[in-house]
Amino acid sequence: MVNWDAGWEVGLLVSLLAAAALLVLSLFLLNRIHARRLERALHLEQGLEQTLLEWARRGPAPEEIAQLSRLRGDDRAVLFRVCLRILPELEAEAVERVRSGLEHSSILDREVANLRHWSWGRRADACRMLGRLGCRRAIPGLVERLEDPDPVVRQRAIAALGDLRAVGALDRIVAALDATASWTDLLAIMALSRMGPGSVPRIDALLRASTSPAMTKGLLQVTAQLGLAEDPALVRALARYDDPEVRVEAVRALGRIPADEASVDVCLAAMDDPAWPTRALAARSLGHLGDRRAIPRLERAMGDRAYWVRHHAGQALATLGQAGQDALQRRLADPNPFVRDMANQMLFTSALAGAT
Amino acid sequence: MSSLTALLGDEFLLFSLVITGYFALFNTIQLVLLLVAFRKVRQRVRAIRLEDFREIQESDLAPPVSVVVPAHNEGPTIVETIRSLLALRYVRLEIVVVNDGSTDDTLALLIGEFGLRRTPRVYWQQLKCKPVRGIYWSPACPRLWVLDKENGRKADAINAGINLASAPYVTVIDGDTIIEDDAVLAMMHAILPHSRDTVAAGGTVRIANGCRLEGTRAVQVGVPSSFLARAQIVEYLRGFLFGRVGWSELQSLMIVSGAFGIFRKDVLVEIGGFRRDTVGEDIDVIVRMHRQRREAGRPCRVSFVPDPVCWTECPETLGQLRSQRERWHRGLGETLEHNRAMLGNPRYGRIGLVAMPYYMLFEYLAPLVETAGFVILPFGWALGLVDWRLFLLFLIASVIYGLVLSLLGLVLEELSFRRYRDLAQLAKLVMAAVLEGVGLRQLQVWWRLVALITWRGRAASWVNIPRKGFQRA
Repeated sequence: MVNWDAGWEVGLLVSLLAAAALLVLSLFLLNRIHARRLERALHLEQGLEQTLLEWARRGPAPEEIAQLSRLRGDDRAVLFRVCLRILPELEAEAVERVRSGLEHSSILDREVANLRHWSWGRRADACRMLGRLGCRRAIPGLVERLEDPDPVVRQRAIAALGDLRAVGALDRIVAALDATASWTDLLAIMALSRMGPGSVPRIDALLRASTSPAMTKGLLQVTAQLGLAEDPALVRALARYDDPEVRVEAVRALGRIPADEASVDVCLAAMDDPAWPTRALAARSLGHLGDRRAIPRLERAMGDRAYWVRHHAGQALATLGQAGQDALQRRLADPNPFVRDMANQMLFTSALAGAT
Repeated sequence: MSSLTALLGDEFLLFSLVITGYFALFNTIQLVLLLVAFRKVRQRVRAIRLEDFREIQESDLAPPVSVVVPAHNEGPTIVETIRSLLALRYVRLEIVVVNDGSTDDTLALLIGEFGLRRTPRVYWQQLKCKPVRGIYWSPACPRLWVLDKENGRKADAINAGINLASAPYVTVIDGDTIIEDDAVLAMMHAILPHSRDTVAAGGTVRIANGCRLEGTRAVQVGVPSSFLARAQIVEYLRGFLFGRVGWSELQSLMIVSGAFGIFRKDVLVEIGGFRRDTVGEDIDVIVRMHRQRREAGRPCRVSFVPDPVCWTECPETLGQLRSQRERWHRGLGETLEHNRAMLGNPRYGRIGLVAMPYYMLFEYLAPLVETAGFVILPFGWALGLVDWRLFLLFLIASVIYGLVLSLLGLVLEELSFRRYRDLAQLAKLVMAAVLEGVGLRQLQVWWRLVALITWRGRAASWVNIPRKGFQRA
């Protein structure tokens, strides 16, 4: 028999048991610390909510501003959460009163300084707070953060610039559309969309100058979100672009910007596009444009081989008033069962929706 | 006895060392996963500290999501589940409930509660499933669809739901599950930065036993009185908080829980949906996604996101728990068998070289080794064949090391999500962690061993856990 002569196992057992005991102790200790912090945060939250509601009613008092200026890092996060909760419920004037109080405190100054904090978490939080609280003097700092090494900070900076409707930073945000990350693209598009009609001329100029399909696609999405285009002819021209993803977005945008006959013609032409997503979006846009000239083509599209084209064509017909409904009724006698079924569904759904 | 000792001595020592080494290696892998998960979980908690998900919530550019809820005899919980889904914070959300030939009042309850109307809905049947008896729509809740079909088991019901789903992302949740109101938002928030590569993602499943729920929130997270349920809380924390997060970080995640997962519909359709001839459809679908994507040379990312939470009831009796664990083990065995070509195959990257061998050695075959350890070593020690110090080493590797890991799981929970806030609750969970290692763990090993040996010869059975219904606030 091999001589198993060692005593370190007992030492190992004792060490592990000691580690387990230490873990239990740490667990309980952490729990108490967290409980105390939570209790404090809840108390603070209640107090801050009361203060901010008072500000909303009568404006801030100097001593309250001074008190607020003394809040530490985690407490500022509590304040931010309270702001997020109560500000959307308030009237515009009341919101302004609260915002002016925050502007006069040093809270926002500290967050502006935090845009350069060594911790990415602090920088990201600062972007979020400054954007949501509408601190326009943070715009230069936020533009700087578009080059941040951390992706979360970059994304938050884009979102914050959108919150602040920083039209001046528009070109820098558009540059982010060339990024490979689709999420950054999405955030950039949403930020640009929130900038409102003031950004339309610049969006159109960038669209005209764009040579990148990703950027063109993103700018068309912004156009669709804004529902405005300075030069609809440019959007119509892009519905014939080489890249099918760009064509889809151009056709989608045509359905959202103010309707004209030329847009209907382009959408009707797009119903013959080789890519089914373009045909489906063209059908949807024809429904939005509301031109009855589209009815015969939409009726024909209900027999398309792609399910989503049939679906959107049926939905578009259902929105085109009595003439559209009549077309759907006619399709109930179509020899193609797919067309009959879709027509039946659309008539049923629109009748039910109308009844409710 | 001394002659037996002399005869078996060296072989027995070698055997004991192998078994002990196996346990030590298993727990060390868990420790590595924990360390990987620790960093990731803390990072995620930091990133969402001031996140209100407004960018996704308010944008019609965020991709639509269809929630598919397979329901078979879920009468006691289905209405609450659907209500919680209707309260979800996600603008572009559609809910597809699949009544899988329930023999109870599931369908009647849904019709009555939500004013459903039978509709002639047309959809693209891309996946095979049992015949559909009718489709219902709620004019009062236009986002709600109910598909009534013949019974074909869970995977068949999910496939039917996927057919009807119109969104590019499909969330599959169990009919007895409550998901928190921002869970889909949080999940999409984690998916969208990697949307080109991500084919599936899972969230954390937490145990609802002992909790009081209000709408989609657990207003009072409690620890159940049943020891079995408490032990499962510890087990789930270990499994989700560091097991899945760790594997996800190593890009080798092989399972997304059937109770709450989100999938890209096009990829599900490409692989033929959920497999209907296995009881482990949740693990199988992920493995086949990895397989299909890698064979096609396309990226495949399966993520685990720890903060989106769903609540589900767990078994509280030994019989129910046994049935569940046997089914899980059978499901794992079926998946490994169906995809054995991936095992150790470098073509499948980390999944073939790391995750599959791990699941084979440390999950599927584990009951053989563990039973040998838990039975033979104590006997060997009692008979004097094993030195007490070696036996002690075995206990350290198998029980104490596991306990330390469970406690680390509780610490990670306390440092990150802190759902169990009372000291008394934590004390109960610590006790459950201690007791789970002596008795319940060995019992589970035995159940899994029985499943390992017998599953091939037996027809798959699905024993539903009798639902008590959620405790409402």
